[in-house]
Amino acid sequence: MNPPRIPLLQVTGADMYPSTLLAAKLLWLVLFFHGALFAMEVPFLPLFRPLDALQPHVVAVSFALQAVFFAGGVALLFNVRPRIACAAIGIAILLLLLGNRTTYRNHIFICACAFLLGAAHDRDERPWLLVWQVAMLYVFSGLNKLWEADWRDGQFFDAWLGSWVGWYQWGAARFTPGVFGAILAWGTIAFEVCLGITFLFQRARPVAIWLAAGFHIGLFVLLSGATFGFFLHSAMVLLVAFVPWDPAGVELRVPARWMRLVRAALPWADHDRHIDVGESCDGRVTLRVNGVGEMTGLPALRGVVNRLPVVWIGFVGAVLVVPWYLPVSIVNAVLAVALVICWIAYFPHRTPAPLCEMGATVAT
Amino acid sequence: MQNAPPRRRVRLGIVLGILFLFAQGAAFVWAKFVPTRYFCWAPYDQHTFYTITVSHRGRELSELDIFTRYGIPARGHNSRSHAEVLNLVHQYETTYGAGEVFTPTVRYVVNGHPERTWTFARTP
Repeated sequence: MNPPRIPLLQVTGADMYPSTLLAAKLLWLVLFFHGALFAMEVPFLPLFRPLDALQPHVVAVSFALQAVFFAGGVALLFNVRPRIACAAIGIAILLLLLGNRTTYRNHIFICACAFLLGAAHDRDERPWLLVWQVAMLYVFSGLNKLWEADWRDGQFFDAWLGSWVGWYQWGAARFTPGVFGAILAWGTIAFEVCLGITFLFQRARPVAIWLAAGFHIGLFVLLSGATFGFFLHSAMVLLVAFVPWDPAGVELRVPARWMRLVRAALPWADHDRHIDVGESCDGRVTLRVNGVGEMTGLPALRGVVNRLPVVWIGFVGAVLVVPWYLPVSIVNAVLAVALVICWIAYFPHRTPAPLCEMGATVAT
Repeated sequence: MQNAPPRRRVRLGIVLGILFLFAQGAAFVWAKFVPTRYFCWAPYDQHTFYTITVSHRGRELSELDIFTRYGIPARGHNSRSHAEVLNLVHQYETTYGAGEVFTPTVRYVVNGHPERTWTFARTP
């Protein structure tokens, strides 16, 4: 008997594209466990001044927005009208930011953008608005820096890193003053603009995803664990939305001696019932993606793990909850490393080799 | 009789999404004319260290009082624009703090340049 399907661990069958839904769930978990929104007082010195009219009701307004965020999150996690839930969460976060200028952070704003734009798409539509959002994020970041004189002449890096980052001091000592900072500054500007543009080309997007993740991980490593709030986490999770979901399901073929075990265990993990199990003819583990291609051996096993939302939700959820009592720096570091591991496991094996046996059509 | 080609459905969500992206584009352009950097993707444009002090009838407010008053630490940094700190203090003093006799002063260093001082001038 199959175990019951748990909506929390399912991403198909709802009114959102599965990858977008998975990314939205992960993003909400990141926001929730960081608790960034629960301490906000709205309105207080609002960026959108008319909101000050609600100042006499500050407790009620703050509570209402946080309740929308929480209720929307529960609905999202359990696949109850996830598009409406995402829209509600996005609007609530946006109002929290507009209603209190002390709390504006780019890493919170990107979450609002992701929820709002993720909600705009139909269930079968890949999130192209989110692609544009990420492209704009990087291009605008680069161009805004280009606008600053202190970025163009390297002064920014000298002031920011010169007093506390060892490798920067080592590098700066080997150039005339300002040159090392200027090299890094122009490199950063060029990288961010090119990265944003790369996201816009579908064929180059996997490269862009790798570069973006590498960029954020690189900053994390080079700046002694800097996560820029939870920008590292939200950016990494957001990239999950760009992974294509196999609409026709996949078929896992395992050696006969494993059949009983796999048949019994998989339904507990695959709550989307996305993976069919069959017996392998040649004794190898094979993962066949219907209509696309297949992979064998370790990539096939990874492919199975990567197609199980339970792995993602469980892993991110556990990492977020377990070290709750540890210092924030350790929590951030553990979470960042965990997300990086997830990401490394996830992306390289999504695209299987084309089918080339048993008369199957080679995917083009 | 030939069937008419299916009409493309214009979806409200997509239209609103595109408008939302355009709004960010507008914020990016707007940021070229104002010193603040909200909603325009300008992380780490400037690195500003600031210190806020507030005097009230000859007495200095404590750091905790300042945090309670403005919602930001009395000593801290801003990674987008120094103007955001100044605007925040200005907005408080011209709205919630209007009519009070507090005199806030912000000393700040932008990207390692010499320190500057800004004092809120209360108009009588």
